[in-house]
Amino acid sequence: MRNSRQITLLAGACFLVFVFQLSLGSSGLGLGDIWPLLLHAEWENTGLRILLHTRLPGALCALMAGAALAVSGLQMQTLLSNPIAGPYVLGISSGAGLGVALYTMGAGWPGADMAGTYGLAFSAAAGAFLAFMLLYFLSLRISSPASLLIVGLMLGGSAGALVQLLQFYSDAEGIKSYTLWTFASFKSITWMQLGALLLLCSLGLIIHFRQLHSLNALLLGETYAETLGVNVAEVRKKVMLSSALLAGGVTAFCGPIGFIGLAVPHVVRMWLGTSDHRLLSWPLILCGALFAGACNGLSSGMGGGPALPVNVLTALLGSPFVIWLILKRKV
Amino acid sequence: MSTALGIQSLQLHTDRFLFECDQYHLAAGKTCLLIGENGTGKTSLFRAICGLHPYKGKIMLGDRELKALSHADRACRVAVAFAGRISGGELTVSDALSVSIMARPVQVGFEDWMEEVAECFSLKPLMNKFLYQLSDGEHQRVMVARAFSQDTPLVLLDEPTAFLDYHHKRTLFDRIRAFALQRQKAVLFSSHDLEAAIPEADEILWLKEGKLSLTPLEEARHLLRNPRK
Repeated sequence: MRNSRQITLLAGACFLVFVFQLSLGSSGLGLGDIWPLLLHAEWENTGLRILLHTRLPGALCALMAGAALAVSGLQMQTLLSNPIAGPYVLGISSGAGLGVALYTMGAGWPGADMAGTYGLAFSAAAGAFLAFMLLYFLSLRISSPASLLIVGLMLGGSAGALVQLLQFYSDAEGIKSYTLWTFASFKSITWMQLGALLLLCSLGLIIHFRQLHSLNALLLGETYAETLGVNVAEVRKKVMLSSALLAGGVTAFCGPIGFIGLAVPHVVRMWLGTSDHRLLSWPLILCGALFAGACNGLSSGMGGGPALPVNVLTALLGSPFVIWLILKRKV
Repeated sequence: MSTALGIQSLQLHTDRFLFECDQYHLAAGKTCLLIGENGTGKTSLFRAICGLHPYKGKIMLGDRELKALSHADRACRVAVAFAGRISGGELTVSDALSVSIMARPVQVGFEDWMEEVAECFSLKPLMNKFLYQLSDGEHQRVMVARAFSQDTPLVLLDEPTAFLDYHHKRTLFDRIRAFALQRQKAVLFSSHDLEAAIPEADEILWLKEGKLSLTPLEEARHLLRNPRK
């Protein structure tokens, strides 16, 4: 493979970031403490429990989420032929947000308190799924990528308005829960949820890897793609589904994580000097994992106390980058 | 000699009637120039031959009727370069050419073929540039090369030289014809620059007053001398 050196490099970096994430957290458990803990394997030890039930799933979740969002962002940039598109342009996160808002602020759900993080994940997933289905059926009647993008943004706008309406009538507690969800976190995931996320991401990635040639053709625009033998309507459905599985899965379990999906594809594209999805996909997966892992590690390590919101870091690192990108792209 | 494109009692419409054509055949290795005023339906003809525009009558690609072909079969039989830049352009020249691998029934040998096409259209120094970095003229050359990189028996070029200066026009027409002849590709191209294009064409199709018909080279040369006939 033409880019095997970069892939090896990135895989190594991902491993380092993985260890970096394990060594940081609010409990003060450091890198030096981890090895003895694993060696002695005393299951009742608090340190080991923190490691196995908070940090390890959190670290794995960050890597997986970063990879998924980066791929989903790339798909949207290609499908909508818009460099500023990201995994959430089609309203996935707005739908998820509305689901969560209904769950946290829509008063009087029976058993809402007991459901805890599962309830959050489920309501986010349901919201994301409904938003995707709505856009999917609308997309059957929309021919141009630009219109699809606008419809996605409009749906997002409506969902946002409904969330605000809920906030207006909600009590402080509900608003707080909702706001905490929008901060996004990799840490609150359980092993069970991690399994579910792995399943969603794997499905999304399998679909993605079967569409590499078609995605390449779409870079030339839908008309050329048709003349290259791509059934554009068919491919669009598959790519939307894949993107929704990836972004929706991540949003359900981690919250709406910004900027990774938008920024990472551009970094990798410029670094490798190609847009060929066959060459881009693996480095992109690793780069996304790397960036999200680093953000997770930093967010745990920087605040001193509890972990900072992940979105604070991704946005602070990500938005100057997007501005730079726009300034640089003079065409 | 095998026929790459066959047209029989073809009728094209958009929201209005465009033109009809009784009979036309384009043989492998031949280069045909399509002329006609703006809005007579040249681009619609190209789109129809690619299966992107509805039509009445018959369009044969090799031995098969267009409507009977799958997306993939079509992509093996006809390639096209439309006029104008593609939007986005977030891909390199090398990416643009290598996309064509998906249209090949056999993937072996594609690298060499791409190399040959890039060489022929002098794209070697541009291979790692992104399309949005190219000048209009370079972009156009890339799109022509991209069509040839699909390695189809029939290649359609809509205004392939619109943005080029006289010298580059002649060079590109020259390359197109040489490549078509050497590789036995049939090329149908449109141009408004009759002076540069007519000498490079084996035959001329004229779209006029709702009719698409072959025009003798002699008449075309006459047209060239008296453009406002």
